[in-house]
Amino acid sequence: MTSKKPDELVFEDLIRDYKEKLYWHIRRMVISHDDTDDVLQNTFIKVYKNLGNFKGESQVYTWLYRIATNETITFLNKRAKTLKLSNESLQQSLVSNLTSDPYFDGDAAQIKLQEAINQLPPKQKQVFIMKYYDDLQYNEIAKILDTSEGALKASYHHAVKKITQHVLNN
Amino acid sequence: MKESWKNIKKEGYKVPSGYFDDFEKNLKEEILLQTILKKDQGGFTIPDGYFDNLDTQINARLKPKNKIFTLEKSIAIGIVMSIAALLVVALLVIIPGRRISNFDDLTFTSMEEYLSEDGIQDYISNQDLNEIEASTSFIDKSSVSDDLIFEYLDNTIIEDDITDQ
Repeated sequence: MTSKKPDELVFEDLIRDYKEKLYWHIRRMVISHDDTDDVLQNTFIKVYKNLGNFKGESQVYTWLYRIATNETITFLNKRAKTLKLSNESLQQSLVSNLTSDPYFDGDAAQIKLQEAINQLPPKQKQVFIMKYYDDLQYNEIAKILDTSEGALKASYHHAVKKITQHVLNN
Repeated sequence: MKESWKNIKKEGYKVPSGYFDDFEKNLKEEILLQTILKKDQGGFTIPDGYFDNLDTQINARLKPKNKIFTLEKSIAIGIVMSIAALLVVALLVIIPGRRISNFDDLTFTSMEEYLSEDGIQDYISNQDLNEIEASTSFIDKSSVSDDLIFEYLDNTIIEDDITDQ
């Protein structure tokens, strides 16, 4: 019989409770399932390695979202560098690959929505996804992104305006 | 009636400046957004059973690394211990002239050889030796005559002979 260490038990609980939430958080930013899988696994591996350093000063899910967001940003920056593209061009190419993605079955309207979301500057996109889809509060997003709540509110409203305009004009 | 109770309707709550001016506009944008952008998966799908196998995949990536780390650590410890053992053997066996011995076991000859071959010159310079020689009275030849030395030696030898007998 193998007995598990307390850290291992906590880790298993974290994977069970947060794998889906973090998956969709990452997926909306990197779009492809395979890339999401890589980033998600890297996120949990980083969580495992830093479990001893978590001091409980923040909520555990805030800490997890912070790691996931950082892993996602690192991934996107590396991908842009490898393909020698700007962040904006990379986002456009990710969306244009959606039609051939085996794990996307959305219609034309949903592709248009993805275009609208992915035309946002990276920071606005992160704030929008966390507020709109992940249902996080501004004070939680502020901790994750290390930004003031005022700046986040402004970013969110800019993002909403750009998305609605993009959809209505196209 | 107390003064503080007069303003009971003022609760101390505040709103950001311009909040009510922007409220309608922000609400309309939010309603429009929710109309066009449903909070569903937006066409994204995932492979069947993906979340069921995720734990296994993550643990598979963690466990081999742990084993490799343990193996590498044990190999490293083994190498260090082997080197240390070899060094000890080399000091005790391979270099015969460096045996550890007691002070009582040292002979005069070996001490003289050590001092003359590789010892004292390394630590005391010629200048130091000259200074010691100049400041030491018993080797100051100018103050001791040859006759006095002979007389001292004769007396000492005679006394030693008497004592021995």
